[in-house]
Formats: sequence, C-alpha cells, structure tokens
Amino acid sequence: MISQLKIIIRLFLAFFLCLFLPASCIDKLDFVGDTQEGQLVIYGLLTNIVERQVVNVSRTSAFGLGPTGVQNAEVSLLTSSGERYSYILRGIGEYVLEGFGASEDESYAIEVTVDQKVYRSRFEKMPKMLAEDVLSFEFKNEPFRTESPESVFTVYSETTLPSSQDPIYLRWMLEETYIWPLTYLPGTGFPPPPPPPCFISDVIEPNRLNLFDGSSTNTRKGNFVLGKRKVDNSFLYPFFVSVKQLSINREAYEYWGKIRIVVNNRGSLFDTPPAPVFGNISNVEDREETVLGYFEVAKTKVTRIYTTRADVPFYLVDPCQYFPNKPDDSYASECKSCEARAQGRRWTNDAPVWWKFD
Amino acid sequence: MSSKDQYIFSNPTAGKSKLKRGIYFGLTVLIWLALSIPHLLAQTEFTEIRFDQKNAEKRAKYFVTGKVTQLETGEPISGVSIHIDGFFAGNNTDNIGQYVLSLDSGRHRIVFRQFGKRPVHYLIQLFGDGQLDIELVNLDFELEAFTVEAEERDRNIRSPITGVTKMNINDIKLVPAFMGEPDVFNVLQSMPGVTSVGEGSAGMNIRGGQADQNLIMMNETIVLSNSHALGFLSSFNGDALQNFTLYKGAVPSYFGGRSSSALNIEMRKGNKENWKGSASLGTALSKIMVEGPIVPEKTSMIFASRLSNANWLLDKAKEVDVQNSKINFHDIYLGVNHQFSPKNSLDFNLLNTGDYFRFSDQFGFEWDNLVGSLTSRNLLTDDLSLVGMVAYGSFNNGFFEPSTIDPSKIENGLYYFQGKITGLLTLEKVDINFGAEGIQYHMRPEFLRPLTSESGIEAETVQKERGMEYAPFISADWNPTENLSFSGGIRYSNYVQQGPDSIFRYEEGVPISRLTITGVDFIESGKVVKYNGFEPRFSFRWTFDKVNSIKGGYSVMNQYLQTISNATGPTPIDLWQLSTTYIKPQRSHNASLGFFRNFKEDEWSTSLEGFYRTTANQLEYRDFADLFLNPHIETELIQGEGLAYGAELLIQKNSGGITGWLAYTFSRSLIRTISEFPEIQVNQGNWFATNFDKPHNISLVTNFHIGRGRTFNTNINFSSGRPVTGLSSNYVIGGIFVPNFGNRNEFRIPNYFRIDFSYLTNGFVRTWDDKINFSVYNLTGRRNAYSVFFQREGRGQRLVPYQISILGSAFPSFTYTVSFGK
Repeated sequence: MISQLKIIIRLFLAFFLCLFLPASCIDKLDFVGDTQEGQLVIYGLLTNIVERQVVNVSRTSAFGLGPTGVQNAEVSLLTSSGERYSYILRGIGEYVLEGFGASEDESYAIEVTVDQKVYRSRFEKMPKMLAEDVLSFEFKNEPFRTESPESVFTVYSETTLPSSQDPIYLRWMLEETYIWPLTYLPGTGFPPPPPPPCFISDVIEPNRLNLFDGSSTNTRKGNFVLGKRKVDNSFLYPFFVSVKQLSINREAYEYWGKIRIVVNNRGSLFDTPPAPVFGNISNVEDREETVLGYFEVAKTKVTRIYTTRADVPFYLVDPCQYFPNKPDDSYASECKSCEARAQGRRWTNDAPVWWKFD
Repeated sequence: MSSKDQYIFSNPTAGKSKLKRGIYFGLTVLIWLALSIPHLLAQTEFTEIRFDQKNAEKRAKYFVTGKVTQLETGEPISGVSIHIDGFFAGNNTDNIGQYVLSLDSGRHRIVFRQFGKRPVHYLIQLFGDGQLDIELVNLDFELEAFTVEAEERDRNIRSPITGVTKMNINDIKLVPAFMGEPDVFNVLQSMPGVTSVGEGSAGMNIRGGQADQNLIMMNETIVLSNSHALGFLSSFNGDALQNFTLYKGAVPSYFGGRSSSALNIEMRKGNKENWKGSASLGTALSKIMVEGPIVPEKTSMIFASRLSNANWLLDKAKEVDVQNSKINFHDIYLGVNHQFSPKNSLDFNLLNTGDYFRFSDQFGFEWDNLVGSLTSRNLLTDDLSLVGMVAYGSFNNGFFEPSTIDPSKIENGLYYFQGKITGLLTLEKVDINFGAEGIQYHMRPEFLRPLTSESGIEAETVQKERGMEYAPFISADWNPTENLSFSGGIRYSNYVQQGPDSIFRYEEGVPISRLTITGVDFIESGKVVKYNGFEPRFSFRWTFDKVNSIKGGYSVMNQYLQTISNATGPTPIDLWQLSTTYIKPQRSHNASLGFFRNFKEDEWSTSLEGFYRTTANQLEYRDFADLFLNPHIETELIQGEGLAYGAELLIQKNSGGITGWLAYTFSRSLIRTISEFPEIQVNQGNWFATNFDKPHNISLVTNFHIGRGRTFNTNINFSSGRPVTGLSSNYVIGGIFVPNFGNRNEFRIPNYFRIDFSYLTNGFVRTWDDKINFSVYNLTGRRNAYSVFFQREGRGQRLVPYQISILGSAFPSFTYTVSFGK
C-alpha cells in the first residue's frame, strides 16, 4: 500500500513540475490569407475651430503594410446652402482646407473625385454641446506593454457634461509635443550658432479610442483615463499633452464604436466577431463599391497640460549630454538632427503658439 | 452437445487471440501493459421454469410478461434484448424495464442480454401465462477482460434507428476528461459527428448543427443551461448519472422542439436497500453523493453535489488579470423515487446548477439554472403503459462590468413549464408510442441595473416574449421479421406567441433597422403570431447475415426557441429567443443512411453513416449586432438557409483487455443569408462556413484494463481548424491603423490536436472502498488555437497574426474518492 502511494505521489509531483512551467496562451501565427488591396479610403474631420481642415484619401494595401496615398483626387467641401470649397493637396494623400471652421447652422459633406468616379458623403451637422475637461497626469510603475512593470505616464480627465438632457457623444484625441534641444557641438574654428531645438509631436496611443456615450447615463461628471505612454528621455524637457475633445453625432459615435471593436479584437470567446466597417461615404454611381472611412463634423475644444523633469519620479539618462573631450562623431544622430530624433514623427523648429509654461 | 454447452461463449484460447487483436487496436507505447492480461471465462447457467394454467382451456399462445431490473440498485433496465430459442425476439424492454412476449405453448430458451451485464438464461415450459421478473448483474470490473457496457454489442446491427449513440456512466468514466471528471459532453465529443467550436465554448455541434439545435434533456425534462466553466464540463454529475442516449439521425417523434438532435440523459435512482455514498476531493473539483432507502423497498433517494475549488489554480497563473479572476460553479441533484407497486412508481428530480466567473475587474457573468420534474410511470395493462411528466425550469443570467465609469449589470433569463404524457402499447410485432407534449415559455424581462450606488447608469427594462409550444405525436416500431424493422411517426408541432408584446412596424422597401421604425403595435394579451407544421419521422433497418445491417432515416423538425449570439462561439450567456412575427421558426429536413457490420461475434462493431440536412430560417447576426437590451432584436438579425452533410466512420472494440473506438467524421456545415436587401446580406448572400465547420475529425479512445480495478485510458483528438474572420488589408484613419476584415469565416485557424490520459485505480487504504483518478488533459501541452487576432508590432504598426489558446498547457488533475456503505 505504502509503495503504491509513493509511486502515485511521485508521479503526481513530476507532472506538476513538468507541466506547470510558465506558458503563454498566445503565439505568433504563420498565417497569411488572401489579401484584397485597392479599396478607397476617405477620412475627413471638420471642426468649428478655424484651422487647417484635412481630408485623407488613400487605398488599402496588402496585409501588414501601410496604406498608399492617392495623389490625383479632387476634394471639395459642400454645404447645405450650396457652397463648395476646394481642398488642396499638401502631402501624400493629404488634402487641406486652410482657415475654415464649421458653423452650427450648416450641414456639410465632402465630395472626392478619383479616376473620374465621384464619391460623396452624407451631409452631417455639427453637435452643439461640449463638455468641460480638467486634465491631470500621473507617473507610475505598472504593467503596460508587457506583464512586467514599466515606468508609465498616464493622462486623466475629469469631465463634466452639460446639464442638458440632450444626447452628447464624445471622442478624445491626445497629442504629445515635447522639446528636444540638439547638442551644441562647437567644433573647431569659429563656433556655429546653437542649433534650434526640435518640437516633436505625435499621437499618444492612437489605437486607444476614447469614446463616451452621454445619452444613456445620468452621470454628469466622470474620470477617464485618456492615454498612457512609456516614460523615456522625451520627459527630460517640458512635455505637453494636448487633448482634443470632439463632440460628435450618434452616427459618428457608432462608427468609431465599430472601429474600436475591430481595432481591439482579441479573438476571445466574448469578442464580437470582426467585420468590415462602412461609413457615410459612397460612390455616387455605384453604391455596391466598397468605400471605407468617414466624414465627421465635430464641435471641438482643446485642453493642454504639461509636465517637466521635476515631476518625473524616475531616473532619466540624457543621451546627448555634452562633454568637451567627446568626439563629435560619437554623439548619437538624435543629438544632432531633429529628423533622426523624430523617427517619422511630426516635428518643427518653431515653438507652437501655445508653448508657454511656468 | 447439450443446450448448456451451446451457451458457453468464451474460453481461454479465444481470449488470447482477442487480446492480440486488441493490442493492434491500441496503437500506443503501452503495449506491454496488455501482454500479461488474462481473460474472462464466463459460464452459462440455465434456470428451468414451468408456467401452467390450471382449470383453463389450453391455448396455442401464452403471454410472458415481466420486468428487468438491476440487481444492485433495483433500477429498471431499458433496452434489454430478449432472445427466444436462439433468435432475437424483436423486442427490448421498454423505458421502465418491462417486456411482453407472446409465445407458442411449449418449451423455449429465453435469454436476456445487455452488454456489460451478465446474460440470464431460462428454459421455460410454457403452458400458461406467466410473469418472469429478471435481475441482471453487472459484469465485474475487476475482471481483466472487459465488455463495453455502452450498448448491446449487436445493438448497432439490431436497433431500428440510425444515428443513435448510447452509453452509460461506467463507459463515460473510462474516457479521460478535463479535471478528471467523467463527463457526458466530453465523451460525446469523441464520438463520430459530435464537435464543439473549441475549448471554452459551451455546447456541442452535432452533425453540423448549431449548439442550440440540440434538445438536451434530463429524464426527458428540458435543460437549457447545461455546462460549467465556460463549457469545459457538463452540468450532469457523473455520480448521479445512469446513461445517455443521443439521437443524431432520425429523432423519434416523441422528442421535438429542436432541429438537429436530441440527447436524453437518464439520472440514477437511489438504492432501495442500503445507504451508501461517496466523497471526492480533487484538485479542481470536490463532490459528494449519498443514496439510500427512505422507506426500504419503497422509497429511495439520491443526492449528489459538486463544488469547484479551482481558484487556487488561477492564483498560480502568470498573468495578473488571471490571478485576480475568479471562477466558481456548483451543481446539486436530488432524485426521489417511490414505488407504489411493481406497476406504478413516481419520480421526483431536481437539478440546480450555477456558475460565477469574473475576469479581473473587467467583466464577469453568472447564471443559475433550476430544473424540477415529477414523473409517474404506470403499467395499466400487460400491453399498455403510461408515463406522465410535469416539469418546471428556470434560468437566470447576469453579465456585469464592475470597473467601468458606470458599473452595471445586465440580467435576463426565462422560466418554463413542461408537461408530457407518453403511452406505450405493445402488440405482438408492433410497439406504438403516442402522447402529447406542451411547453409554456416565459422570457424574463431584460434589466440593466447600476452595480454600485455611485454608478450613473439609469435602470432600464426591456420586456420579452412568452410563447407556448405543443405537439401531439405518435410513432410505431414494427418488426415484420427478425431482419426487418420499420419505425415511423409523426409529430404535429404548434407554437403560439402570446401577448403582451410590442410589434414594431418598419418602413417598406428598406431593410428593417432601428432607423426605419415607423410605429409600434402593442398587443396586451392573446395570440400574437402562430406557427405550426407536421414533422414526419421515419427510419428502417434491414439486417442480413446477422452481422450486417443497413439503416436509414428521415425526419423533419421545427424549432421555436433558439439562442442568439454575436460572439465567436456559443457562450453561457447567449440570449434565448422565441419565434416572433419577424423571427421565423427553423425547420430542418434530416436524412441519414448507414451500413453497420460486426465482426468476431460482436467483439468488433463498425459503422459507416452519411447524413444530409437542410435548415430553413437559420439565424445569423448582422455585422456588429447589438443584442442586449434591444426591444427590436429583429433589426440585428438576418435569417438564412443552413446546409450540413457528411459521413461518419466508427470502429469499436467491445471486449477484451483493450477496448475503445476509432471515430472519423467528415462534416460540412454551411449557411447563406437570404434577404432582398444586399446591404444586410452576410458575405453577399453566398454560402459560407459556420463557426463550427470542421471538415475532418478523428478520435481514438483506448482503455487498457490492467486488472484489479485499474484502467489506463487515452483519448487522442484531431480536427480541422475552424473558420475565422480574418484580415484582408488595412488602412489608416485619424492616425489609427484599422484592420479591414474580409468575408465572415473566410479563413481557418490551424488544426486541433490533443492527447488526454487517465489512470484509474483503487485507493491506498486497504479497508476502504477508495478510488484514485489521475488524469492529464492536453498531455502534450499543445497550444491549440481557439481563435486568431492581429496585433501591431513596432512603430510601423505592422499587423501580425497571433493565435489565442484557451488552454495553453497540460492540465493535470487528481481526484481521490471514498465510497461508503454497501
């Protein structure tokens, strides 16, 4: 009896030791399906702020690759009162309308002509209400991109909705802008002027879609996590976060809700199975043609908050610290070039007009 | 040679050759285990009985009636085959173990057989009507040769209906299972024609049917919620389970209400003579069972309960979210049986199951299910028996999100009353079943409630439907000759949706949607809409050479209650939905044909079956369907046509030192939506594979009977990967990389492969009746893909496909069971 018991216990322990080794349930898959390229994608956002309004026109690309911009489109903004404004090509597939702001009394649509085919959106009206955002931030060690704790910067908003019972649908977008001074390398001979600093901007957590449906709740005040970012040497100098609150209509809210579903699809049991997301733009002559994207008109407010190195509770290393005896070519390229530091992000040498801090 | 000699059916020499064949069948490295297995020598004894009829005229024919029961428990045994003078009489014992024979006067040899039980042989001098009650005894598991108890070895040849799988608890225990718990659903999924979407998915897919197209019953009472732990385990406790019968081909007319199959799970009756029980402590599950006589020989009870204790396993997980998760489930079964007389009895059954699952602080769900029934069984005359049943079922569901800004909970559910009366008239060559069944469904209102006092959620209620389903039915089993039998029946199903209900009106010429509502009609009471239809059922058997038979069947079935879900697979919180003005009932046509052949005196049974089914009005959800708290749920759905077809091969070894089976299924399950509006069609209205379309399925179950109560069991499973909706391209809007998904279910995940094993042995305390079950689920630790998702990598945001596995490693479990009482 005793020997049988020993054998069983030994077997049992052996299996536990062997089988409970840490194992993830997620694995990369060698899975490439048939791809379908070339579908037209049009995205336009029109706000009430008199600024540069943008419409992007592109085509879908193969699995895993970025989309390709369409350069030969004609893009117009239509108003319900019959006016038409033309957008101008400014970048790869990027068409802009400078100095225009949407009005509450008008409805707007966009019309895009590509290869003699006309695509038009539904007319959309701008909502009238906005909420009040009070921003705050926090530095914390917590799991973020991995299961191990990391240094994380989190932006919060305490948002107060208007007391009106009319429905309100909100979306927030976060953009960071930080200053990056290039290393002044005097070299030999007559010293050159100090290089201008870089102002580098990027969207924080672009795939986090911050949406709120204020129509189905009595809550008029709420705290939201708007975005997170890993703490790195970008925080060595003043670091701004611009929060753009967009008040959108119900159809746009539903569209972004679907986008959030497909973007966050984890393939789990309780996930809504993904599907193509269609918006409010179609081919005027061929309704069957798949056109992706959306045109939205949003009432907008921008709120900003900044942080400095003094707020950061973590040790940050400055890779570009100047040492007189260090050879110039041993400095990293990010210390000498904004382009190299930006790594594809948007950058400029001119400080934004709102770049003011204590 | 005497007649006695003719019934000796086993000898040592034959046993050795059987063993050798068994080893080949095993195909595993454990061949050595079988080499030393000695074999069973069974002896046959005849009991002589004479029936006389004094002071009466002699007749040419006399009746022999009686009841067959289990010696150990006194429970009636259905399906016992009765052989007269070496031939099958054509009749089996009925559901309550009774039989009637009409025999010529004179001397007859009568043998009562059921596999797994020792046959009983009688030599009868019949010169008057007689009653002969039989008690069968189980073949001892301690014997080192084994006989599969699932069904009579020649049942696959003799039974009149194609596509029937029957098995009892002793066989179920031999199939390795998750958490080491003998489980009906686990066993079924190793049988041909039965699959599931994947691990962690509630419900089974039988012959290409959706999970909700299976009628699942406990003692013929409908059980709507029938699984625990995300579908890893069924709700039916193996300690209280007697057997199950799955009708996946031609479903008899006394079952209805679902369009694919019927599964009836018979629960045990308590012991009428002694109190006894068992208690088990396992790594993930603990349980207790008690049974015994309340009034000796008259009233017995059985109580069985299981409780999960798996939370400590979650604590061991690496992921913080899993550590902070919680999983609890329980089930309680109570059965009381009272025997008024040998001909009249009353059964009370009660099943309560409940689950609670919370994933970190992100979401959770809970549900609770209660089913109670009262069944009266009465033998009115020698030829006529009547079974009446009334039942009540209740199912409550909750889904909660505790960590959002407005913590909330959604609750829904239903309750129902079921009544059924079934008569069985036994004539000389014909058995006639007749009766009627009615079910009244009340869907509970769907509630949205704030979960905390701080939550700003406004409470919301959506009223749901109620409806009644009722159907008279009749069927006849006719055995004109020993080699030929026909079974035919008809069911006339009716469904009435009853008020109150709000019927929305929609704009004409456009798809119905919440944006096209033009008005609403409120119906306070009475009929809202009515559907009905005849459901013919037919099957036949033609046996030739005693070891070959061909069987075929055709049935039509209507379904008025179905689940709707927009999740990847069936989930425990799927909404049950009655047919309404806009949601038409499903109607399926099922055809099947099979060839059956047994070898070596039924030691081996084989079958090859084909099936074909079409289903009208099968439900499919529209893209991004919003199902909860939706008063006009028809706007999120689209109906279509289902098509399933395939073939099943089964090779089963029924006796010897090694038993088991090899099952291969080829099966396709397709659907296409039907609408005049192309914008709501799924995949442009073309045929596409359902979530559970897995063309190739192979199962190899092997049981090594080592002796002294020890068995070593393996279960090897392979299936094609199931369809998923995959990425066809991607695009950017507003700085967000958006995957553009292709057609629904256009791609497939990798194939599925799993090996489980279990070792069952006696415990280590000599003076106790204790057992040990050590099992490992997914022995190789293979990470079988459940689904596919796409994740961004690098600054380029390139989308990379990943597979997610529900169970990414081997899952061992250990259960120690002590039985007490005799």
